Amino acid sequence: MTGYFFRRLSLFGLSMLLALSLVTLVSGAVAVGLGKTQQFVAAGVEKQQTAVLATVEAALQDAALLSDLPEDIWNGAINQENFSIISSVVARAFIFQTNTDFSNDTNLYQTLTTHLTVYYRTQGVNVSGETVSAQASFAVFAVNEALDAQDTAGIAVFSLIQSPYVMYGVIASAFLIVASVLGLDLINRGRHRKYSYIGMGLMTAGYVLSFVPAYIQWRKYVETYRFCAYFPYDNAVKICVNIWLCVLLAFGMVFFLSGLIMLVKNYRYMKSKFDMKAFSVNHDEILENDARVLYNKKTAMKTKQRQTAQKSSPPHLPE
Amino acid sequence: MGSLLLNFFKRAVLVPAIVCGCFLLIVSFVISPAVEKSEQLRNSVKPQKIVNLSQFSAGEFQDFSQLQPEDYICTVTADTLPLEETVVLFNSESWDAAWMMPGSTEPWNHGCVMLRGWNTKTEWKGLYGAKKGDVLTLKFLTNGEYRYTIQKIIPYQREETIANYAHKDTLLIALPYNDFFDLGHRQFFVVYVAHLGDK
Repeated sequence: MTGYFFRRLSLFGLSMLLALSLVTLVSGAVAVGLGKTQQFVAAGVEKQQTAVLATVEAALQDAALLSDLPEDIWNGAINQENFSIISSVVARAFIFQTNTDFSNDTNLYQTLTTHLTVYYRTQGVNVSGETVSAQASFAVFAVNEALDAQDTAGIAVFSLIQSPYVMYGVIASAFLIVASVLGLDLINRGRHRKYSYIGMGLMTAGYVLSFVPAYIQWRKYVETYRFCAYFPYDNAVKICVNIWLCVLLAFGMVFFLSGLIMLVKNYRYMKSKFDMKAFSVNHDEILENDARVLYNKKTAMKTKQRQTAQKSSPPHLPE
Repeated sequence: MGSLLLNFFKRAVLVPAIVCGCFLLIVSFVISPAVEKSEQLRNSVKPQKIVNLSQFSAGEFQDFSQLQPEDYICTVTADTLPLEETVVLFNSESWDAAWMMPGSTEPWNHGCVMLRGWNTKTEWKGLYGAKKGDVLTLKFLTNGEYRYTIQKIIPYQREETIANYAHKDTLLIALPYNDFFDLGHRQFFVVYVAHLGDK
């Protein structure tokens, strides 16, 4: 009895371990996979380009005023086409948990220098290369001060992704998944019943990975959480986190369906086994009944034959 | 038959739902306070950084010539700017403090204080947002406080031209930035010229 109880308990424990490992593996791998991909994070920043461009334009306008240059000199210098200059730096700052630093950004400097050269050429003004460079250098400084003032170094989600413990967790959970499946197989001695526990693990992982992101979205935790002070960056992080949650939800659905299929198949298998057993029991009963009837018939026939024989033979008279 | 269905229900619905419920409880207990805390941070005013003066060698002085390298001189604060309190040391080029340029003279002697730093997180961060009319305060340990009003902001300056703006009762703060034409060798400066006294 105790052995049976412990066996059931260990099967249940292994099934839950499988579920938790699947949840850790998927959420960790998705977070690291997406959160460390510059294109993914930059795409989030690019969705906020209107707000960021407004900040950049205001900074360039202030720089023009301080430099006694025409107010419209920097108009369109940084636009939607070359916004990747900004978004890639911001994405790198998010990923590597540093402040957005444009102070040494030669791409930004080159873009601004080219813009200024074209501007002076179209205005027909002759300006030396050194002056153009000085004005572009100051514009880079102005953009840097406007965007670098925003603290991107302490964003909770990216700090977590940068932590090596997430990767350790992912690797450990991959091992635990294999170990728990092997454990379930061993304890069940390879029998079909292991699928019901694997199915339960998959279903549990599916529930957690579907309901937890859905709950977070429903309670608007991501929308209300303040990841960083500058709202375009904050919104960019929110976009990334929301996509991350959607991917988790999709994985959750996949696990849910695979678990359900496994459990239904297992149920049908067990049911057919149950039906077969029931059929074989009935069949035996029939056979047993038939045998009894046959025996009765044979006994009856024998009795009849005996009686007939007794009637036909002449009575044995005493000599 | 009944026990098979019950087992199916237990494994497909009951156990996963209970575990998922536990997860949701944990999430709401962990995330809710964090969200509330972040909202409080958003609504609250950023607390002013308090400088721990005990880490600097600070003594009484009446003349800047009495100071030794790395001696604490004063801190710079701003009422209307998100400027972190910046510590000014004498003749120091450390990364977490600003320093006084040669040729500076004491404010209590109607002198001109010329300051510069590296424009890092601990010095002059937020100063670029300053406008004409903003007030900067120099707090000396034993020589009182001096409030200066920004009068001019002049970009494209070199280190050697900063002193050209030195006048009586003036504060000059030089904020450095890269000269891409001569990257790594020379720097430009934005010079904030402020005069003693409120607006």
